[in-house]
Parts: sequence; structure tokens; C-alpha cells
Amino acid sequence: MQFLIISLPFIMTAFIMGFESLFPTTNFQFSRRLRVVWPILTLAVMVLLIWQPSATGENGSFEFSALSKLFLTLLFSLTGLALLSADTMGFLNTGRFSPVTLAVCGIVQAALYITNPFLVTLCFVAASFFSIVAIVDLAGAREERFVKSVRSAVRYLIASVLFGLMLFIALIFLERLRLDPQQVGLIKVVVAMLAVGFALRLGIFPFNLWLPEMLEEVPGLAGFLVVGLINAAATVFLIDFLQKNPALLFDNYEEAKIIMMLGLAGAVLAGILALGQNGLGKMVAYTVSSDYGLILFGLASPHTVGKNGALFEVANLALLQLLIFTCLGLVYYCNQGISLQGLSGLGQRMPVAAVGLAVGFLGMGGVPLLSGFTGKYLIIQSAAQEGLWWALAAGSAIAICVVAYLRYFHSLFMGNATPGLKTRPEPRAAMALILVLVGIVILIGLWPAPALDWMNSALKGTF
Amino acid sequence: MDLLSLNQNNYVFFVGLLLVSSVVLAVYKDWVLLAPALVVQFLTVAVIANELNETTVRVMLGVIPLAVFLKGVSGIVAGIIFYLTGYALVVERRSHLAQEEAEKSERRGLRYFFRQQEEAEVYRFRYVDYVLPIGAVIIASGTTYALATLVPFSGNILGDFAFYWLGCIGTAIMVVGRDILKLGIGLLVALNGVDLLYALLRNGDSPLVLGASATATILLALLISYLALLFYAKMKTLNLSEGLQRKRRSEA
Repeated sequence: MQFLIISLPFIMTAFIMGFESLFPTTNFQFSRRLRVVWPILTLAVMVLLIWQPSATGENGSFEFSALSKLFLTLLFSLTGLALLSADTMGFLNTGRFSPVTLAVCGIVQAALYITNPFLVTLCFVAASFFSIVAIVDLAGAREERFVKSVRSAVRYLIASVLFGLMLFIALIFLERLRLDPQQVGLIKVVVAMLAVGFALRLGIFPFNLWLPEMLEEVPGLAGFLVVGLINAAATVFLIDFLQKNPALLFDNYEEAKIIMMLGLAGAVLAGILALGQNGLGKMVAYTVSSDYGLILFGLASPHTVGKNGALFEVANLALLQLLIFTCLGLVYYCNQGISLQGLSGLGQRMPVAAVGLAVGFLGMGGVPLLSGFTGKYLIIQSAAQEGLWWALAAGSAIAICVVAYLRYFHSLFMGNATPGLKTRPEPRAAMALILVLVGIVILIGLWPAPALDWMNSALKGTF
Repeated sequence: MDLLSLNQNNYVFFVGLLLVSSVVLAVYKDWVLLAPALVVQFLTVAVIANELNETTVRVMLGVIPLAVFLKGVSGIVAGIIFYLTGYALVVERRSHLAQEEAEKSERRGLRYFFRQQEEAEVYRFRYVDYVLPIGAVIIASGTTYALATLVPFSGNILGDFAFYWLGCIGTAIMVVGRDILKLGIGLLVALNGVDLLYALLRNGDSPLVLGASATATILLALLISYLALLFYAKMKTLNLSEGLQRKRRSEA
């Protein structure tokens, strides 16, 4: 069973690549349909396998935690929607996106299934490697965009390898600490390494240099793979890891307070920088950094509401990033790849993308009745339990991001339409997908209790 | 001379190899030198890491420890990948000579601009190109000395020195490197340092971790090669930033 769980996505990745080379999509219509059907079916089977009782290995080498099961189910469902969305907008035409996505899902699943943390580290590094193939999947892009994409991919590669190195060193020192518990000074080293490593991985300010250019230039749904899928899975691993080693942070308020301060400071500064960006993608990148700063704060906070809020926010971030990247992808598709800089008044030509993006942005800003509200409310509540200044800092980080969202949304979708711009009509399938995602965001916003209960139970291991 | 373990006879030889290969990787930009230097460094680190690992029961592959075998094989494969990438780039450059002539007549386009730049860089020796990397090597040496003497953590001077050296020199290569292959080599050197740390501080061989680490090394080399070829095929250069900035300046 364990072998099947680990190997299925990679077997299917190889199968899809082989199938497409035997039946090229240019000649065979059915092959064009199957390139999205195969990975979605595989993801569905993977979700079924995750929940099988026999998935847990007898010797403890393989095990899904309750949190991993819940998040993998969510992330794979969102990835399925991302594949459908990519298909409707022609991102699968190069033939690389769907196998790469499946391979990334396979590695992420392995990372949350294997219990050896050294192997998990290497899995996350490998997932980053595969996602880079999707990041530079830019057939027919302008030269400048291509150069920037490759440059951002190289930066991301360096950040990913450094994340792996930091985590590896932290694990080695942690093992040393277990063998010799007298060396308490090593705890600081381990926590520092973990903090820097995960800040690099999650793009928390000031370790987010790789993120802005990537989200500005790369195909939108590759951005989802990085920010929505791999980063969310990395956060789940971090929570599981910290629960297994409570002496590092959860039972160590002295270290946790420093991490909380760094997370909150990163959130505020990234929010301020989001205001001054000269591109929508860069602005989104800084607000994502800000959000991960808040998540780090929530994780490190000693209050249960903070941890619940952080967990809810990770799930919400993955959902909203899919919505935002789908809308941005649709805008790119309708504009036929023209850069969004300098464009305005797109709301009249692309109403569904405008609605989707508005809901996505407001959700990210934590507006009530949308899915982003609950997580941010809990994080602020946790900050308030620490003190007034903490709550004010968390609240101002969110408020600054809302201003940035509204400012860029207004400049792109409102006002007079750019003269002479030729746009394609929005594809119906993409419109339907966006509306479905908008519906989910509103539903969770109106009725967050079940999701919150699941997260809370998963965090306690009673799910 | 026994080449699988360190002793008094070959100690200087291996340490010298580690230093020389690192300096070559940091200073030179010719792939004909870089690929063999990378292989030499991997093999040297494999032997040093094997010596530093104090585990009594080692996982063996015949007479060779598994750790040395995997490290050596991953290094050789990475070296071959880099060598083939460099060779492919030369072939690519030659095959585009005719196209280049046609583009010269137009005197415009980013690709033409990049190519002009690269020609100037490839065919002209500029000592300035070596000043920055040599400076970086000197700084890395100083940092390594300072760290190994001020923050020794393993109780083994060679272990401390080799780990800090690889970390510092890998970082230096990434900082001064301007093209994709150099950045990739910097990453691989830093990765070598962590492998060494793993051997130095961890008790017991884990074949799975060693295998996964070797796989990650090969995957990284493949990815760097893929990015380099993809970038070169479109832009006719490996330089990521300078060409674009100069082009913008000239347009402004």
C-alpha cells in the first residue's frame, strides 16, 4: 500500500508523458481532453488512498497525520480545479504543465507521508525543482518576460536550496541535541535555522526576494503551485514538526516571542511595500508575504486561537490564491498575453474576472462574510491576548494590504477602458470555474464553523 | 596510495584537491575546466566525509562505503551533465552563426544585443573578470578561518574547516556568479558542505537519506542544465541580468 501511495503519481506522470508523445495533442483530439482527465483522476485516487486505514506503515516510516490528510485532500482538490482552469485558458498546450503538476503533488504527498524529516526536506526541495519547470513554461512569451521568468526561477531555485540546507542543518543539530540534552544552546541555533529556512520557503519578508518577480511574470497557475500548493504543504509540515518537538517553540515562549515579533514585523513591512509596487503580480506577492508573516505569528503564538487562525489562514490562502491566479490567468488570456501594466477599465470587458478578483482581494483582506475573515479574526484575537500593540500591528498589516488591493483593483478594472486594446471574450468554462470558486469563498465566509472544527480536531489529532 | 581513506600520506593531497577544485570553480568560467573540477570536488568530499563519519558499522557496497559510492556517482553524473550542457551550448552557438549574420543586418532586437555582448566577453580576456571572483575567494578564505577558529562545533578541525569552506565558497560563487551555470555550481558546492556536515554530526548511515541526497544533487544539476539550455536557446547568453540592464540603458 505504501509503495502504491508513493509511486502512483510518478507512474501516472510518466504515463501521461508517454501517452502524449504517442498521441500528440496536435493530431489527436482525445489526447487533448485526456491530458487534463488523467491527472484529475489520479489526484482523486490519491485522495482516496490517503484516507485508507492501511496507509499507515507498520514500522512508523510512513504515516499521514490528521492535519496532513485534511490538507492534502484540500490541496489536491484545489489542484484539480487549477488543472481545469489551466486547460480552459490554454496553459496545458505545451504538454508540460499537467505532468509537472502531478509530479509536484506526488512529491508533496510523499513529504507529508514520510516520517524521516531529512527525507521530507529533500522532498520539498525536489518539489521546488519540478515546479520550476512549470514556472519557465512560457512558449511564445516576449523576450523581456522570458528573461525575468528565468531570473525569478533561478532566484526561487536558490531560495529553495537554501531552505533545504537550513532545514537539513537544523535537523542535524536537533539530532545532536537529542543525543546530548545538556547542549541547550543548540535550541537557539535550531530555531534560528528553522525560522530562516521557512521564511525563505514561504517568502516571508525580508526573505521574499524571489517572490515578486515570479508572480509578476510567470504563468498564473504555476504561481499557485508554488504559493498555494508547496508553501501550504510546507506550513503543514512545519506545524506537525513543531508539535513533535514542542521544546523548540510551542513550549518555549522566549523563542516563540522573537518569532512572533519577526512574523508581525514582516507582515507590516511587506504590506507597506505592497503599496509601492509597479505591478499587480508584485503587489500580490508582497501581500502574500504579509499574510505568511501573520501565519508565522499565529503559529508561534502560545494561544490556541492563534494556531487555529494560522491553520485556517493557510487553507484560505491556498483557496484565494487559486481564485486570484485563475482570474489573472483569464485576464492574460483575454488580453492575449499583453502585460497588465498601464491597462485600465478591464471590468467592462471581463466582468467575471473582475468579480472574481474583487472577491479574491477582499477575501485576502479579511473582509467579513468571505473566507479570509475567520483566519484573520482569530490571528488578531491571538495578538490581542498578547497586548494592544500586537493587535494594532496585526490589524494595520491587514488594513495596509486592503488599501493595496483596492488601489490596484481600481487602476486595472475601473475607469476608462484602454483605447485600442483588443480582447478575447471570457471562455464560459473559465467563467463557471471562477464563479464556483467565488461561491466556495462566500460559503466558507458565511459558515466557517465546520471547517474550523475540522482544523481544530486535526490540530489536536482527534480528527 | 590509498585513495578511499585519509591518512598521513594523502592528507595534504586531499585537502589540496578540495582547495584547488573550489578555487577553480569560483574563479574560472570555462565549462571545460568547471565540470572536471566539480567531479574532483565531489570525490574529495566523499573521501573526507567518509573519514569524518565515526559510525562503527558502515553500510558497504563491496569494498566501498555506500556514502562514498553515492557521493562519487552523483558528482560524476552532475559533472557529466554540466559538461554536456557546455558542449551543447557550443554546438548551439555554432549552428546559429548563419542566423546571426542575418540578424546583424537588422541591428536590433534583444537577442542580437545579448549575442554581441557575449562575443565581447568570450573572445576578450579581461583581468577585471577575475578580480571579483578572486576577491570573493580571499574573503571566503578569511571567513572560513575565522569561523573554524571561533565557532568550532565538531571537535574535528578538518571537519569544521571543510564544512565552513564549502559553505563560504559556495555562497561566494553564487554572489559573484552572473550566469546560470555558475549559480548552479555555487548551489552544488554549498550542498556538498551540508552533506559533509551530515557525515560529521550524524551517527549511523541512512541509505535512504544518502540516496535521496544523491538524487537531489542529480536533479539540481539537471534543472540547472535545463534552465541554461532553455535560456540560451532563446536569448543566446547565460547572463541573467547584465544584458537586460544594459539594453534598457541603451534604449533610454
